[in-house]
Amino acid sequence: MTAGGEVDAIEGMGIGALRYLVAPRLLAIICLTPCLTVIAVISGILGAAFISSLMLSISFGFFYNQVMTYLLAQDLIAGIAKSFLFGGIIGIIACYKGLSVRGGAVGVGKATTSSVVTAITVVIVSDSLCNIFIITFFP
Amino acid sequence: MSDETKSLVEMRGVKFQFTDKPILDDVDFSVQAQEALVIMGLSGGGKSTLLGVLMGLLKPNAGVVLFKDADLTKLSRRKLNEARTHIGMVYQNGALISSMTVGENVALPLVELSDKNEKEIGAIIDQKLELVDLLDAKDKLPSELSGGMQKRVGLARALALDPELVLFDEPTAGLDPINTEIIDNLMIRLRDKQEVTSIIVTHEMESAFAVATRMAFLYEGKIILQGTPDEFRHSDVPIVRKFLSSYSKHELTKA
Repeated sequence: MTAGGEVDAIEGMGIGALRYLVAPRLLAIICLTPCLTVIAVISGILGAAFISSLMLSISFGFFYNQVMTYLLAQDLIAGIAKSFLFGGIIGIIACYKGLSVRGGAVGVGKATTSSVVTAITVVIVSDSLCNIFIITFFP
Repeated sequence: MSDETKSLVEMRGVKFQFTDKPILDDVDFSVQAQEALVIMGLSGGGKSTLLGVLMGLLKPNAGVVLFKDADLTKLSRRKLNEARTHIGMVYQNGALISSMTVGENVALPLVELSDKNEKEIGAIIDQKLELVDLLDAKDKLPSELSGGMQKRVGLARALALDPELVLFDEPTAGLDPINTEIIDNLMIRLRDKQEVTSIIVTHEMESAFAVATRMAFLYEGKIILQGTPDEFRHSDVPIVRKFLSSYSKHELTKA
């Protein structure tokens, strides 16, 4: 939209790109990332149960008992709480990169790649910092 | 009342530069209500930048940009957005939202910035699209329209909130003579019938002389000449003479 002059048009009309473009996208990704996290956690556990049964001959019942014993509510809460932050980080980086695109279609491609790489890096770094914080204050 | 107080738009000492070389260097001009000021100049001479500064999309390095006596360079974001609702802009490439139909594009400022209901908005969309003779294209996407049609939709969208000032960035560039005439007639109609003030940036001489009540020439970042179309026809400023020589001699010598 930046490359096509649409963002300038939205700004020029007095609607404001932050209100009309950035705010709804940011809100959407902050709300949706925890949903994706829940799906990813469930898929991960089910996948692990399936592989454990198939390759390690661990029964579903035993696997379930182990999960219920060692998976703490604190882990799940921390994971979902972090995902709100990660959603916000991804949204802000993507919107910033998108709004500062220069150089037409090539620029859009570069900005998309840069957005993904930057977001992954920042999410990994902030995840590590969050984990240090959680381990320190909620051991 | 002095001329100064009657100005709808005024630029004073505006300087703008991306790099070391200034794009706008001490630009001064004012536009009275219901005037049609045509700003001419060479390609890449800063004409579109000037419109960007006027809309508050670009912040000048120095100078003031007054719209209805409010300095756009100093307004808060909220006040600036409010001021922008009184200014319509027709972009060089139309700048329509590609995912929205023509009708939705025209409705956008009304939906977002006015408290009108759906029925009132529908009526305004029809009226504005009829003005640009594109009512049939209401449900089409911008990609299904020609360049000229996109510019006309851009004009309909710019007029949606009945602005006092409309800025045109190269409204007829790259269009065939028939579409050029349609856009020229729309600009003349706006000037004469709707009493809208216009600032038109162009280097299309036919359009410029057809529409302008006053003209300005931007060269090397400065307004080097301002005057009526007749004063331009008879100007002895070399660069202006050279620029206008592309225009037919018959038109130039016309009184």
